[in-house]
Amino acid sequence: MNQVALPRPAPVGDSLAMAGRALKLMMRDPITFVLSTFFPLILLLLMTASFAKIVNPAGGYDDYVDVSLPLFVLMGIAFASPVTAAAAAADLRDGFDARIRAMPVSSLAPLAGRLVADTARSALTVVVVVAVGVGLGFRFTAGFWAAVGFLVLPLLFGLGLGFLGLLVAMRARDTETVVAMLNPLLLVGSFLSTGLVPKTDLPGWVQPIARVNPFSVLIEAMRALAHGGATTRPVLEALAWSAVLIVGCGVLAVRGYRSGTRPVA
Amino acid sequence: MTAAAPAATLAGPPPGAAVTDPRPALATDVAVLAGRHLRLMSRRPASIISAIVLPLVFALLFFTVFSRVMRRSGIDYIDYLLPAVVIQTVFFTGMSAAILAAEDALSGTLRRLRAMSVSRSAPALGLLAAELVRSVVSLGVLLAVGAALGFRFHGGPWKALGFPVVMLAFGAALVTCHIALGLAIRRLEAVTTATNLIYFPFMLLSSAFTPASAFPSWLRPLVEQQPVSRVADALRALTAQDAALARPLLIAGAWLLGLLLLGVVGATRAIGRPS
Repeated sequence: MNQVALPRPAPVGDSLAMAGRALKLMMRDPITFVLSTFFPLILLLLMTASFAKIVNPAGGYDDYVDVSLPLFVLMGIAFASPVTAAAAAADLRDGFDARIRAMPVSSLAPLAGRLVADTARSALTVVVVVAVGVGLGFRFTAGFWAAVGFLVLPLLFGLGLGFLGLLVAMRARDTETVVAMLNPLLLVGSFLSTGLVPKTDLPGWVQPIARVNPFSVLIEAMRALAHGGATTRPVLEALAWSAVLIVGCGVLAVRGYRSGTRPVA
Repeated sequence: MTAAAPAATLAGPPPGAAVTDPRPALATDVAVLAGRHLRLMSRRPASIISAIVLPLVFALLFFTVFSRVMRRSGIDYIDYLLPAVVIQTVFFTGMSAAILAAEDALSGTLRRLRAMSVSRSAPALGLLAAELVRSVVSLGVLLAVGAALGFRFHGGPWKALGFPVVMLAFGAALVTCHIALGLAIRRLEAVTTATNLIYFPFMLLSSAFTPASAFPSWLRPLVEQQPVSRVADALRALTAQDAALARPLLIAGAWLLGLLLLGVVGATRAIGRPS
C-alpha cells in the first residue's frame, strides 16, 4: 500500500515565499520607496535647513545633522510601517489569508514573510539615510562594532513597529483607516522625543515623556553608538523597548490574526 | 377631475405652458454635489483625521517642541506658528481634493454626471465648495486651540476678518490646482505621491515654520520669494499689531491669482479628457 504523502507546511520555506511576494509587490509600488527613502531624506534636508540655526545658533548645519540623523532614520522606518499594515489589511479584506489557510501552508507565513520584507526595506532606509547623512557631516567616532550596532538597532525597532502596524491592521481592516490611525501616533512619538531639540529645551512636562518615549531611547542609544560615551545602558534600554514592542504587539497581532482568519463554521 | 390629472401629466404640459426640459442650474448642481462630497468626507475616518486631528497634532507638536528655542531667538512661537499650520491645513485640504477628484474620475462618476443635465463645471466647483467648507472647519479648530495656547489677533477686528479671507483665497487656488492634478493623474497612489512631493518642499522650504534668516544664505532668496512664504507674510501682516498691509497682501494676491489661473486651466483641460 503506497501512502500518499500529504503536502505539509514548511514554516521557513513558506515564510520566505511570502517575503518574496511582499518584496515583489513593494517593487511594483513606487510609493513604498518614496516613503522609505525620499521621505526621511526630505525631512533630514529640510528640517536641518530650517531648524538647525534656531535650535543651535552657534553650531553649523553639519552639527545638527550629527545629532538629529538618528531621528530621521527612525522616522523613515516608522512612517513606512503603516504601508505594510495597510497591505496586510488589504490581504485580509480580499481573502488572501483565508485562501492561504485552506492550503498546506504554514499559517503564520503571511505575517512572517511580510515582516522579513519589511526589515529588508528598513535596511534600505538605514543605508540611504546614513549615506546621505555622512555626506552632510555625520560622523561615526566610536569604532566599527559600535557603528554596526547603530545600523542594526533601528531594524529591531522597525520590527516592533511592524508588529504594532499588524496589530492595528487586525482591528481596523479598512486600509485608509489603518494609515490614518497610525500616522498621528507616529508623529507624536517622533516629535515628543529628544531627536529634534535637546531634552532641556523641551517644556518641563514633556521631559519625562521624552525620557521614556521609545523614539528617544533609540535615539540616545544610536547617538552613543555613533559618537561614543556610555553605551551599555542606552543600548540595553533600546533593546528592551524593541523587545517589548516585538513580543507585546507580536503576541496580540498573532492572536488577532489567528481568530481573524479562522474559517467560518 | 382628479382622475384626469395624471392623464394630463402623461400627455405633457398643457398647451401654452413652456416646455421644461431638465436644464442645468449651476448653483443647485454645485450645492448638491458639494453636499455629496461633504457626506462622503464625514463618513470617512481618514478625512476627519486629516481635517481635524492632524492639523491639531502638528500645531501642538511644533508648539511644544520648538517654543523654547524660538523664544531664545526672540520669537513668540504661537503667534508665528498659527499661520503656518493654517497653510499646512490648506495643503491637507488640497490633498483630499486631489484624491476625491481622482476617485470621481476613476469610478465613472464624472462620466455619469456628464451624461446628465448637470452643469459641466459643477462637479469641480462642487468639490471645491466642499473642500472650502472643510477648511473652514479646520480653521475653526486651529483658532480655538491657538487661542488657548496664547495666539491673538493683535491688529484689531478688521484685520482679523481678513485672515480667513486670505486663507480661503489660498484654499481656492490650491484646491483648484489639486483638483486639476487629481483629474490629470487618475491613479490614487501616484496622486498621493505627487501631492506629497509638492507639499514637503513648498511647506518646509518656506518661512512658514521658521524665519528665512535661519536658512543657509544661498537658499534664502528662494525661501523668501516662494508663494507659501508670501501667503504666510500676508497672514502674519493681518495678525500683527502694526505691520504694513498693502505690500504683503498685493504680493500674495498676485501669486494666488496666478495659481488659481493655473488650476482653472489645468482642471478644464483634465476634466474633459476621456477616462
